[in-house]
Amino acid sequence: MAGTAQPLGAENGARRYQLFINGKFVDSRSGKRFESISPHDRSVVAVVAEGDKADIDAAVAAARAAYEGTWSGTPAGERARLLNKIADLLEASAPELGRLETLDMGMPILMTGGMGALAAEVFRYWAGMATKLHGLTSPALRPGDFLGYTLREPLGVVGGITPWNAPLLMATWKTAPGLACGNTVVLKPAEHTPMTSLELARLAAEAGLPEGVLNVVPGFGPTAGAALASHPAVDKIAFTGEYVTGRLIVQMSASNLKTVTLELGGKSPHIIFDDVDLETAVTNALFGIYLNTGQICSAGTRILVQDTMYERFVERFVERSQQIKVGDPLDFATRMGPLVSEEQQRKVQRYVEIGKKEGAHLRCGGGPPTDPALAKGFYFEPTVFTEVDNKMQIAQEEIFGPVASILKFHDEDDAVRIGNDVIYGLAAGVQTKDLKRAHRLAKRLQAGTVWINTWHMIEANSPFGGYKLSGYGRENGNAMVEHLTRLKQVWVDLNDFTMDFFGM
Amino acid sequence: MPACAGLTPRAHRLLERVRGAADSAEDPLAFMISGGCCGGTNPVLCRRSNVIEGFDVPLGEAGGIAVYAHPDHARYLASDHFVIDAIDNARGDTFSLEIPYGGRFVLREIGAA
Repeated sequence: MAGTAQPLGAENGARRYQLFINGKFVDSRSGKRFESISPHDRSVVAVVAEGDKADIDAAVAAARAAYEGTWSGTPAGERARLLNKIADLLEASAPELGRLETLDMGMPILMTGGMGALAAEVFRYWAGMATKLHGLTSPALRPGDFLGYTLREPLGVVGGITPWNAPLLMATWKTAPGLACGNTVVLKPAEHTPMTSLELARLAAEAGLPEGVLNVVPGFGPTAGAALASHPAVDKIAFTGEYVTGRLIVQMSASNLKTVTLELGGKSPHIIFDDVDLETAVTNALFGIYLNTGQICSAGTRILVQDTMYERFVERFVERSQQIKVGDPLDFATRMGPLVSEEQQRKVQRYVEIGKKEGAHLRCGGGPPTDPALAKGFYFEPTVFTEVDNKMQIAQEEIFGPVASILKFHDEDDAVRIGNDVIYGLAAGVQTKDLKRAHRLAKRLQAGTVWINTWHMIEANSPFGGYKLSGYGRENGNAMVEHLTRLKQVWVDLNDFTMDFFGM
Repeated sequence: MPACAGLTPRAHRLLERVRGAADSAEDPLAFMISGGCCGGTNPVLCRRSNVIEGFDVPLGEAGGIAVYAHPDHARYLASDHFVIDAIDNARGDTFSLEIPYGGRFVLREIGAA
């Protein structure tokens, strides 16, 4: 069915969405649809067209045609204007985008209400970048008069595969930079949370982004996602998700040697020294682990507390954890919503059982809340394990839920050893008043981001990515331009004579 | 005793649905235990050609399908004992092959570590 640039409206309480390909909302070639359910009460919040290989092929063909036809030749100033226009529309739509994000994902409305503004900020940052993509002039190293310079060119068609934990923000990370650099984009949003990515497509069309420049194809990983990752006409894939799928994408990328950037999670140490005021230490640690029900790759999941303040810290941290308001994410008083899915709830529960078997002390939480109003949702109480050894599974594996593991360390060297003894390296944090110690640790910790006396600072201008099994490549900032463009070296002979190598 | 002790009946039923549509004698199915963001630390059903022989560590088998993990991850999983279970009418955000067939494989603990 031929579509329009408007998504379908609500039907029986659930919104209906189609794929966004070549500037139009269309049904999937197969006619299949899937349901997106509310993590609060399992009601169907959206019925979404299910794209697969045929739809990915159509989206990539549209993106390729748009790249060759218009976008690669569109002046940087015009790309910037369009991205700024999308930013304005995102900001103006913030209340509705926030509500949809909360319905789809379960993030409290207090947070999602700000997501439109954050998304606009990302688009504005990249609108600015679009006009600052420079090459360099290169001096000749040998005698003679030569002009050397580099041209910074887009790659072509770039694909983005997003996770469900911050759907709109992740969609902006996977689209705005590519568009700013002159690429066209095919986005495969997470199947749990497709709504706001399709709303972004609607706003991009409204802003006047030419057809085919941005395409959004919701669908499942092994069908739509794999078709995008293995597509020979896709030049680059950015993926956020788990390790094995990241590795499958690398294997699929080998066919046409497309470049890949991967952000695959973490088990980030939050190192707290005894010179920090107790309330400050606890407040920062709560924010680090529990924001978004612990469903953030860079959450401060391993809380390393100096032995001299361990008991005091634990007592207050457990007390504050028990006071967190868990509830309906549409309620403005709620600070912690449900987990995104039953799969996630089961996984978190399994880790609680593992932690108990491993001998860690369960100090609070450990299961779904008893409030009958929350019984249908995928809720989980803020959970604290103490006396955790770093060799335990609950200290080594990413749980992706509201489970804090509190460990003890003795001194700076001990903190670094424990902090780095993990298979991931996405983020790390230090709380101390000692400036020299803080910066020493920033150098020694093996993590892509180090926070000092703060947590969750991730800005459009700051490179984000990991060490070790957290993946490779960096998103955001100048670093990302390197992943989304290629350099061409041009040499010009300015000498009036011509060197005749074979005439000598 | 290998870390993975098999499939639950529910997981077996889901696996049969996948096998009916996607089994291949040339490139049989394999489970990789994943880790990390979002859908991590759950089994990803892929193919033997995705397993890196001599690098990935075998952790047993489930329903006749070999189970592997990255060696660093396997260090922690090896002392664990789990079965592969399934959730019906669920999805995951991985590339696991069962996802279009109406269920999702998950790990379930058995016995003591």
